[in-house]
Amino acid sequence: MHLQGLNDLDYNSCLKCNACTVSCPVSNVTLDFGGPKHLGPELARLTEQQEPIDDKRIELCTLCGTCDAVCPEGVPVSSLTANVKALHAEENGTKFRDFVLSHAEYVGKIASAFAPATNLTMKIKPARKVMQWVMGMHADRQFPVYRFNNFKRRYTKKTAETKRKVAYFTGCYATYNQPDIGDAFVNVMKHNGIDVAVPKQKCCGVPMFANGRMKEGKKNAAYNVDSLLAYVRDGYDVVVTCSSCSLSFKKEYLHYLNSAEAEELAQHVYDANEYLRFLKEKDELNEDFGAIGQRAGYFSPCHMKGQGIGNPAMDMLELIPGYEIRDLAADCCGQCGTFGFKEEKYPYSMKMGESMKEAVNELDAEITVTECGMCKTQLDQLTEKKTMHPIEVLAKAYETV
Amino acid sequence: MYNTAVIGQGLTGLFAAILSAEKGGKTAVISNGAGKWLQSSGLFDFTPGFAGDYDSWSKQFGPAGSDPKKAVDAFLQLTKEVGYPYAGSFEQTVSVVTGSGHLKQTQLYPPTMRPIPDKGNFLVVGFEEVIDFQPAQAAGNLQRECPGCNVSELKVSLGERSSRGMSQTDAARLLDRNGVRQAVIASLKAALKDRDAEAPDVVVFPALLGMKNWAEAVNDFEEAFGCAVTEAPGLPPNAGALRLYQLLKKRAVRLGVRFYENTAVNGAKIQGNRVGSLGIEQGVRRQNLQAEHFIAATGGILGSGLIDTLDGFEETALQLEVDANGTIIEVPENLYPVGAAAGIDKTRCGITGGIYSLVSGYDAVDQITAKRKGGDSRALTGA
Ligand SMILES: Cc1cc2nc3c(=O)[nH]c(=O)nc-3n(C[C@H](O)[C@H](O)[C@H](O)COP(=O)(O)OP(=O)(O)OC[C@H]3O[C@@H](n4cnc5c(N)ncnc54)[C@H](O)[C@@H]3O)c2cc1C
Repeated sequence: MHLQGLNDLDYNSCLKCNACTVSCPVSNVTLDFGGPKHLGPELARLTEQQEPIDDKRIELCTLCGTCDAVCPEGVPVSSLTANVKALHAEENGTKFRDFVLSHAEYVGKIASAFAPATNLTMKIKPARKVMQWVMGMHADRQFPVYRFNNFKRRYTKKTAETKRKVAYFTGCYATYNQPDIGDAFVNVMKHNGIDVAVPKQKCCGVPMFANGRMKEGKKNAAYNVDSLLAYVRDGYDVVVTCSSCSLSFKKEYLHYLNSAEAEELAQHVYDANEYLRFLKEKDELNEDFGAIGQRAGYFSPCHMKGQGIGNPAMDMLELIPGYEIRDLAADCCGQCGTFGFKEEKYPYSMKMGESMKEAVNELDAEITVTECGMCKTQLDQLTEKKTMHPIEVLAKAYETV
Repeated sequence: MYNTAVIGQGLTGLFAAILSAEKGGKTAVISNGAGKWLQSSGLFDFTPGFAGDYDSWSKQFGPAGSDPKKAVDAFLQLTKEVGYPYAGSFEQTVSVVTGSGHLKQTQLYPPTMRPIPDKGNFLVVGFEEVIDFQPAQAAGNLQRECPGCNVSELKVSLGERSSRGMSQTDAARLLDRNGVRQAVIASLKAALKDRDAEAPDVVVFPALLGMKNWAEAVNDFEEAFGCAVTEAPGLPPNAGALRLYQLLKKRAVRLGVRFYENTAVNGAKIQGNRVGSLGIEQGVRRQNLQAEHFIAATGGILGSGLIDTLDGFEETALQLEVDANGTIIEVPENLYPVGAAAGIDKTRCGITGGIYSLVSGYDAVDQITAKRKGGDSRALTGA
């Protein structure tokens, strides 16, 4: 196989039980998708001794990883489907649109430099129609706003002086779209007496993997491993506020890079709330939270569920006096990174979002809390509730006396 | 950190975790897969493939928990609350029809699967697109097993195409939609009109009577035929098990149970006669998870909690020493092996039926709750 040796992947334990396909959020709304069982282990087994088969239906795989979590036999299903996506992109070339979407970082840089103009354009219906026509982005999809005063402009510290030191991987969303998350994170750390440094970093690569741009994704991955590992070896803990970025360090890099360095980094990466929970376990957490009387629903992104770390956001938010938070127990939101922006995927995305919307309405909390910027995009479009990052809520609690 | 950590999110683990959380215990579930439970029929037997009742079962395998009836009642109540109410009883065994048309004995059954009477007119309905249910085969077997019945069969189209093999659960999701249901009902009625057969007393479908909207689906088909309808569960995964799994999981998450998925338990710290913590692994990351009590619901041989090697059984999770039956030899005082994790001698061929899952899980949570109330709560006080 061109891009990735398949032989290291243990698909032979697949019993074809279908647990993955009946749990797949895309398969659940459409019969157009071949499903993870067929496009993962079955296809790998079929093509082991022959030329790889390029299957267009793979475009509907979002790499959410639900298949991995349910497989009773431990088959790394989404690693197999990622390979099929890479092959498909290689054989067919990538649409200009997918190239743009997979480069969240370039887009962020440019869009934030012209932020007022970008945001305005994205809100005007005729302009969105043109986007659909020229770029294949669905005209009804609401886009996240871009900030001129992005986090890179706001915060430039490259080293930390305190006993515990944090190297913050900001991710594209908190850098260009919602730098308030970055500010909140730095504040929360400050309340715990911890300095935050922001190492040199590139987009984690998840949007590239999802669009089959494996080579570029790997390049970014290698760059980030180099940059972050230098900090780790200097005694820093790597902390991340975006659940897709943190999952990529913990899981995807290991598979795609397959290096000792990626393994070393994976041991030192924390989701932001996971890090706070770690501080609490060490009796180092500042628990001086002011009361916030609010009923919140927690939406768990697929890439958070996949990390296997329980529910650190709720563990932390439950410490705030007066804060009532319950897990929505919702399925995949349907935005799935760049998937829900695309004209031809939009109808699937909306169908997938229905059960999330139902869950939000059923719990009827005052606000929704989630870590993922892309899930927030879908929540903002489909529900009436305000959506916040858990770290923003914690920062507010520290500042409330 | 947790009062109770449950290893496994099959039926046994999920049921125990829900009970534990309902009793106010801070509960975690650790699993590396959804378990073999998804492949079961959704019917709850004493022992799968064994037509015994409670007496013969307990004679063969010993007493199952201190109060089996209470456990079953708790389960029936729970399924009512989550919206997929099971029926049946602990004492009575009923006949249900399977996807191959054979009759099987079971105790608890979901609202989409009904006990079968031993006489009357049965109509077995299949669908062109659903290849893993053949109505001719099912009808033939059912006729042989039920001489007092008059069995006929019929195949119609769902009217929808699939780019993958159409499974029964795919079809169930299609039948969630009213439009698809009405179209199917119309073609069934048209096909029956040409037939001049007696009206059926029971209509048997594969396990596809709606996923979320099973109640509407059952109701629409019953109204259309003017008689009872039932699902005959076949090749996995079955809609029955899937409906229940999804609802129980949602219940557990809403109750605040913390899920550690993609996570293998790989060893434990044993301190004296207690489990101190579990070694948990996600890929290359290894951590310890602390709890006051631990429930091992790892599913035995089928669920990969036990592996059968040339040198005998190995217990994969805590990696404790087991005997020739896969039973942990020295069970630490705060560890509760339940379901098939209790060892292969507890059930037939190491396969536990749904009832054993319920009863043993219920018992473990009961014991833990009693201990917690009795003041044995070290983790709670942070010690
Ligand atoms: C094809 C089939 C049909 C069946 N039909 C019926 C039926 O009709 N009626 C009936 O009553 N029963 C039936 N059964 C039996 C049924 O499967 C059991 O009743 C049920 O699966 C028991 O559930 P469990 O929770 O104990 O185990 P499982 O569902 O297997 O769950 C085991 C759990 O433990 C986890 N686990 C194991 N080891 C580890 C580890 N080291 N670390 C972390 N997690 C671990 C797994 O990930 C999984 O979550 C059937 C079984 C099969 C396979």
